[in-house]
Amino acid sequence: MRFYLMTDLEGVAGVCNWEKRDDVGPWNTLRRQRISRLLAGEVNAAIDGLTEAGFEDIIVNDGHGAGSTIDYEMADPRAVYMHGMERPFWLPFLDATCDATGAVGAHSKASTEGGNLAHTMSGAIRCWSFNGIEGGETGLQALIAGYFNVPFVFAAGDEHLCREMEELVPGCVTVAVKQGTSLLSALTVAPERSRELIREGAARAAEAIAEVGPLKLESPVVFRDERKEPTWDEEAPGEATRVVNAHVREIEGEDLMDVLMKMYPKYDRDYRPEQWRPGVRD
Amino acid sequence: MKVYLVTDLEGVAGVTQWDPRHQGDTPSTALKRQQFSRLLTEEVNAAARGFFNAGATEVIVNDGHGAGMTMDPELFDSRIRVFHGSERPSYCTGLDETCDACASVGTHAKAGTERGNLHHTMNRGVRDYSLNGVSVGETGLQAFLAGCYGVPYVFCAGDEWAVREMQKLVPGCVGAAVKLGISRQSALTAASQRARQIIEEGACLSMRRIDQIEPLSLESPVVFREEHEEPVFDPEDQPEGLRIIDCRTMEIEGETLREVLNVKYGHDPAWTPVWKQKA
Repeated sequence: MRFYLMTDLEGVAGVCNWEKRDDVGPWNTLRRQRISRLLAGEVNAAIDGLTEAGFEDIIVNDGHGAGSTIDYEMADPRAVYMHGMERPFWLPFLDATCDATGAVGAHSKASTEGGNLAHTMSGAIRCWSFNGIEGGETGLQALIAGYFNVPFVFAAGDEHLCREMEELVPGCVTVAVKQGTSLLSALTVAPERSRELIREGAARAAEAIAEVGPLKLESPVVFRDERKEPTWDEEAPGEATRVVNAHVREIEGEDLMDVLMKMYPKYDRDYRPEQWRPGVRD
Repeated sequence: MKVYLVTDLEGVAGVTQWDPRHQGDTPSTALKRQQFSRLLTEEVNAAARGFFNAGATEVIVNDGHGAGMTMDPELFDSRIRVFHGSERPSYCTGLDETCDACASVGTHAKAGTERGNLHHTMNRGVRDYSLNGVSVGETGLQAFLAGCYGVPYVFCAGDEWAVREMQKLVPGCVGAAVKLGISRQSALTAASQRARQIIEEGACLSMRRIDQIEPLSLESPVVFREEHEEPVFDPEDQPEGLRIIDCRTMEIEGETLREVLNVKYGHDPAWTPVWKQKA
């Protein structure tokens, strides 16, 4: 059984502030190393639990920032890791060959009251929705998985995110490792405890497959993209199908993938990475 | 049995982005570079274990990336010896007829390989290298140089695209694919521990292929061709030994590849290492 595990940083226990990648000074560099280890510890805990649940093929997407946030020297050898930036797709290798998907280090969507480090993709976005369903990054992951008929079964992160995903995907296993109290504050469990909780939760991920159906969207799919600042110009709609006002644009497509290709014109819809695992080639 | 092992950084598992050595000396780049250094050295050690386990008696490593001091000496397997440093007296110093096999670790695909992770040839300005019309990357060039001394290239560890490139050029050589590039700066990669296992296993197997792999050969004269992405040559100015074809293309012709590389890098063909000089 193949599991696709998305990872992010802002929902990791012990992380309560932004990574601040542009601050390359000694203190922030050491703090970044520490949060890389905290993330790696939670990823490893998830791999333990998923392995226990019967997933023997685990693809981890090192999804935060520049795509190399998980402390690589701690990486569990049982998984393979999607690493790096300028990728041909946001979630490469998430496709119909996966049996289930989930997320570790997940944060709540933009504008979530009290959500620790709540955001959707960038700080510019107030709200994203697809056919009226509001979704942050993890919601979008569940929708993309649904496009490929893959159920979203497991989320670990801020309690606000857990509630968001339970509402979107009833029956999925959620593990709250912290409770956001404001954008930059949270009540967190200790990393050791978060790893225990994640391992236990991930071990139940396989059972959730039967409970959770793939999250599907009816055709046509309308993506609504609302920004905090005036951004869109009715005279120059660009990729948008409709510019509703200076804050809101809509992109309509046949299906979610069609919409994604319009949202991110550099992606090639026909690109499918090959099935690959490391090994000796003789 | 003596193995000459060339190393590079971009094909190491866990190194998916360019070496930040030109991005300023900050705590962030310094720690990243230290980590890359450890990852590379442990892959070299894994290859060395494989070679020694399969009967190699000597493993000579060329610390080939960047300024030639990318490996971490504090982690060296005690049995290896390493050529490191810059301003070297010849290209791939020590690769000669005394070697029984040539191999590479941390190997990346040549320039122009669409999805090769960190693909390039020498530097990012080069479009392609060729030898007598055969397109080569850095590792292809090294395999031909080994062939010039009758030494077969037997083992390639790195990006899947580099493995395929070398297996096409040198049928029978063993690969250890530790990642699959899916764009220039992204890859699906094995964890470091897994990468080291695969490398050790592949390196061990490659020692049994030495007698079955034909050293690469080149007809004389050897024509080396270098094509650049941008105009870099002035066709009005023809430096000695070089043939400037146009503003992007240059050729060097010589009896052997070693002779060509000595011209390319301005190395003294008469240079003799101390271990070959009479005391």
